[in-house]
Amino acid sequence: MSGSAYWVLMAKELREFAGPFVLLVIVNITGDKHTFSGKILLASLICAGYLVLAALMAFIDWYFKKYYIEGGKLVFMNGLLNKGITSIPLNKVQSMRTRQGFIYRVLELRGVLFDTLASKSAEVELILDDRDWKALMERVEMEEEADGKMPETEEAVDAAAIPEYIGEEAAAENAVRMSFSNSNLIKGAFCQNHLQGMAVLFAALAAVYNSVTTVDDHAVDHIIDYVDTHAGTLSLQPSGYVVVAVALYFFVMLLWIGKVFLRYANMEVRIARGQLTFESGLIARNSSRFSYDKVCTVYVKRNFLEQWLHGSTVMLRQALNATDEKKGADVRVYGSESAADFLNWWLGSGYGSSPDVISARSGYGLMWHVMRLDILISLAAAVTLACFGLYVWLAVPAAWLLISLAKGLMAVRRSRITLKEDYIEIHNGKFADIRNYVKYSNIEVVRLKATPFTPYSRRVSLTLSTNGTSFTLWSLRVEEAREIYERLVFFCK
Amino acid sequence: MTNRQWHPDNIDPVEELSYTPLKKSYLKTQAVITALIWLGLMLLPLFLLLADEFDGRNLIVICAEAVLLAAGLVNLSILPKAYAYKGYAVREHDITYRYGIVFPKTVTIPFCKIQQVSIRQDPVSRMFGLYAVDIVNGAQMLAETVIPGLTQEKAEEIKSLLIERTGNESK
Repeated sequence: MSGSAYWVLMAKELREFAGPFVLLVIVNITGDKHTFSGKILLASLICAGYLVLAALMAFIDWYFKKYYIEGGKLVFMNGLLNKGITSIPLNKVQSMRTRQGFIYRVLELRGVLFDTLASKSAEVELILDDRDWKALMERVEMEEEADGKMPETEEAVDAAAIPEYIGEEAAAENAVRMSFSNSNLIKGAFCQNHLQGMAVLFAALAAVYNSVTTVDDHAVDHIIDYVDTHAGTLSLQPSGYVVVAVALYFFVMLLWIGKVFLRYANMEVRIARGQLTFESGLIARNSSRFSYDKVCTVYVKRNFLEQWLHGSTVMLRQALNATDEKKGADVRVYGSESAADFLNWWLGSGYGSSPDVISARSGYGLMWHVMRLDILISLAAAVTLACFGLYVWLAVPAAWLLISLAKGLMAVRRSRITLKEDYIEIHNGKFADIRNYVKYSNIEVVRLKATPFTPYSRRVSLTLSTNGTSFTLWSLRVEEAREIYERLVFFCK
Repeated sequence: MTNRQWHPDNIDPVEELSYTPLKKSYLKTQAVITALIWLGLMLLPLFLLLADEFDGRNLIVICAEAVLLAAGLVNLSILPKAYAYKGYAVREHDITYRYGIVFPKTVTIPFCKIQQVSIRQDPVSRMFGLYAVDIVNGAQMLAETVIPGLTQEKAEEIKSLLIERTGNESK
């Protein structure tokens, strides 16, 4: 790794030791044992120790971290005392990701991560400059060519279907580049469930809470006491609560849109030689590169807002432990009408003309599966409200149940499986129209499940699982489900 | 584009397969395990007897024990039916296992998707000399299918067959 990589490692070490360092400084400064100048001297010594320790650890990490590609394997060595050698066959690499945080971009570096199915998080991270990155890519592509992984996928890319080309050189190499506008991204984020922003809010609050409790264990008690004391002056009228709720909703919506924008802004997708490279991010740029045969499902969602605004959410799903989902590395495209392009790439350009073989729809038994939790919650709420004599408020669980009923009916209307000649199309979703595209070769296991009512209703449920997704179709007709079951088992070979 | 021909007449549907039953002593294994589980559950209400200030605890304990005993007896009584339903069948390209009494299930794993086959034994099945075959595939759900209640010879035979067929199908 280049010399600049040392500074990234140094920043990482500084961050890692920051907590103990701050704690140590606070403990030593707040006591009465030392004079003011003694405290300054002590703090300076702790700072120096902190910097030396971080620099030393970063140097060990940098100096002993080496990698090379040999015989189709990426060999990665690290550590001084606890020396480790990791060897990953390149054909077992599920996806290759890069990340460029702020420091990386200042130093013109990128962190390269290799995901395999063996681990839930990335196996190896290399910090490379542009020259090393290009050299690594060349070696990986050479190994892929030697492995014979790429040629057939060329046919899958239908150049005519791709909306935008950038550069003659790219066209010459049969590389296709799609870029997605940020306005479409904001439109797509706006069309999602904004309450997802609550997760961002809670994560921020948890971080604040952690910081506060690190400084002083009694800090939270002080805040609670303060709020308790001033509760009288802070109390609101009922209309005030509504205003606060609306304001909170808009705040949460902004948080959600902001999160999506930071993560997926200036999105670019390159399709070349059977590999898809996805890059996005406003400040920190992240990319993910994987072969088309590593995708197990293409998910396309259109809720009523997306339909109205002519957009969709597309997700390329890989094996579950291949992507570091906690860090949001899964490939998502919000707001653009790009589903057909991805499907052309993955299923082949003639996917739209693939004839139907057999199809089955879910019956009303599905409603129970959709509504069961809502029924229980509504019943519990109704009983509680009735016990306290709050009869007017019974309208709330009743409304909840009505929404759930609508959800159940929509789910029944949407749920179906269609076996095409070349792939499987699974429709699910409730208010949103969700289509999942799966190849026969991705099916790993199939299960048929009956219920005590099957002899009367003649309905069963069918589960099919790939290495990254799993779908259960409830309440299918026995005869149709059995035929689909047999076909799935037959064609998945 | 692929255009493989589908010959439904040449395929034995899973519901018409003749399933190989599990070893008879597996029923005893299940009975022992079930009895141990329910006895364990019946021990829990007895902790209420330690709460001296709790009035009417004797009645509650008696009721709870009676309910648990009845549930345990019902569970034991349906074991023979559950055992009779369990079985496995091997076709040319896949293995099917069926199980379940309230919700009967049939799982089929194509040989080419099998990633690992192993044999195992737990303390209770060891008492009866029984083994189980674990079939692992790469699925997100239903990644592991266990065929229990086999003799050592049968388990070894299934394991060898699966490994051989998996190797052939993957070629």
